[in-house]
Amino acid sequence: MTVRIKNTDYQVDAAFAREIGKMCNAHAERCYQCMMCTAGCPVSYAMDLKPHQVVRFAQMGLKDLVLNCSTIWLCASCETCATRCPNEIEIVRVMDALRETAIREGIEVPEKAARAFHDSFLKVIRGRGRISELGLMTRLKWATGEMFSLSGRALADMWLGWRMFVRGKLKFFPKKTEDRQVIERMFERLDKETPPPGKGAG
Amino acid sequence: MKFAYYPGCSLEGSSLEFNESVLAVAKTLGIELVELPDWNCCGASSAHHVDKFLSIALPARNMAIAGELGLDMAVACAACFSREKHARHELRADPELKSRVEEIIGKKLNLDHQVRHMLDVVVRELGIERVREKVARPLKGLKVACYYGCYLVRPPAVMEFDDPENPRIMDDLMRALGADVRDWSSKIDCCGGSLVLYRIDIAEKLVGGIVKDARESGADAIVCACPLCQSNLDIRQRPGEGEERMPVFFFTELMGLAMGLPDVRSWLKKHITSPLKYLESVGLVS
Ligand code: SF4
Ligand code: SF4
Repeated sequence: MTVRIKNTDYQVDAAFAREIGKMCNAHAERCYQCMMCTAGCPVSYAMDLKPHQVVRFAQMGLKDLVLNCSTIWLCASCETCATRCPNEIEIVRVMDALRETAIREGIEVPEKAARAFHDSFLKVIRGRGRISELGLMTRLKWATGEMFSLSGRALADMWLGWRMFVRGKLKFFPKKTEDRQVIERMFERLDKETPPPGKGAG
Repeated sequence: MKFAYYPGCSLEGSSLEFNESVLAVAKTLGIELVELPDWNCCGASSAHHVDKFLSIALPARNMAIAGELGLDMAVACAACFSREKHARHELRADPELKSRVEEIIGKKLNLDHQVRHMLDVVVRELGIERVREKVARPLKGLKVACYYGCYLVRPPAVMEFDDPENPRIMDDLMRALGADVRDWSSKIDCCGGSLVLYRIDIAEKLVGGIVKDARESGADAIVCACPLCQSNLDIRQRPGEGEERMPVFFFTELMGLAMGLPDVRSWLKKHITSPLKYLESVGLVS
């Protein structure tokens, strides 16, 4: 079956809808499209699909649409939508389930910098058990190819980094978690379930 | 009164003045904070962006360590507080998940222990009267807007913290310190802090709205309880023509100021937007 939205036909995938429903248990079927979520969303202006559309399309099983949208990567998880939804739909859990699925299926991420950020962040945790802000920034600059950039933004970042450094806020050797074996176990489990960050990692 | 204290990564780095002020204020108030031995990162927004299990296992290990100490956990960072509370919520609802997590972290979880935020510890556990007793120099003339952001209050069923649309716990605390607390409508708006390293345009827009609203309420400064909000507001604001940058405080820094603690100046010097000139102008530092 397909549905037509703005002159394009989209495949309905009922199994996908069930799978997402099971993953997030968010009760998207209760949605009556009041758009309260979208009205209060601070980031909706920048999203290609609005939050109420993501909820409905996920519930309908329009897999292509919801796994490729920018929305799941731009959502700030601020929980404003879910807090105000009259049907107590856990919209952020829907976003989480879709993002997790998009990663597992190796979907090309429209917001590459977002994916690069999360991957870099998790790599730092995997290596140290804790975040080193300097380590994170360096990794991120590598991942996005901005390591040696001299754009206005890059220079502003460097200036900010310097100002933080002189205030003692960027440390070269911040403390690590001693028991990194346990942290490694958590990530090994994740490796087994997720393909390596290929396409989307920027 | 004793808690297992979880500072979180930001408090060891970009927000060390928050850590220093939390510890100093707790000591003055007689709240004993034992730092969680060998704690790990809560996973922040990245873990739950990528994998639900990881986003629960990371904070769970911290809760298990607090459990081993037999103490409730006190968290300073609102973002870490949120991740710990989310994990606790999921684990309490799902015994099967709990045993899978226990297996991977190699520790037993005792979920009877609470996870509390420092604001809650100070205002509700210790009590505002005890704070008032310690005020040596009331913050007269300090006009503040209390900013709660997302993590402390939403979703209310998980956070169990305060009214999600109009929280007042920090307002009450600031009033007890003698500050002039302004009512405003952006206290729970999102500042976009989690997007700051990949969509700075969105973060700057949201910060702009919050700072503008604080100004319109008549406030001269913003007070926060979250290191991500504080750095984002402190760094990303873009004052308009003829406007001064707006100081952004941690609630514990203002507590220290009102209690006359000696290290206040060294905390405030670490801000990107220096609050010292403003505090001098209202006669609160010399
Ligand atoms: S607020 Fe809830 S019911 Fe209304 S459109 Fe959004 S998800 Fe649907
Ligand atoms: S959680 Fe995401 S979708 Fe919901 S209001 Fe916040 S940014 Fe928008």
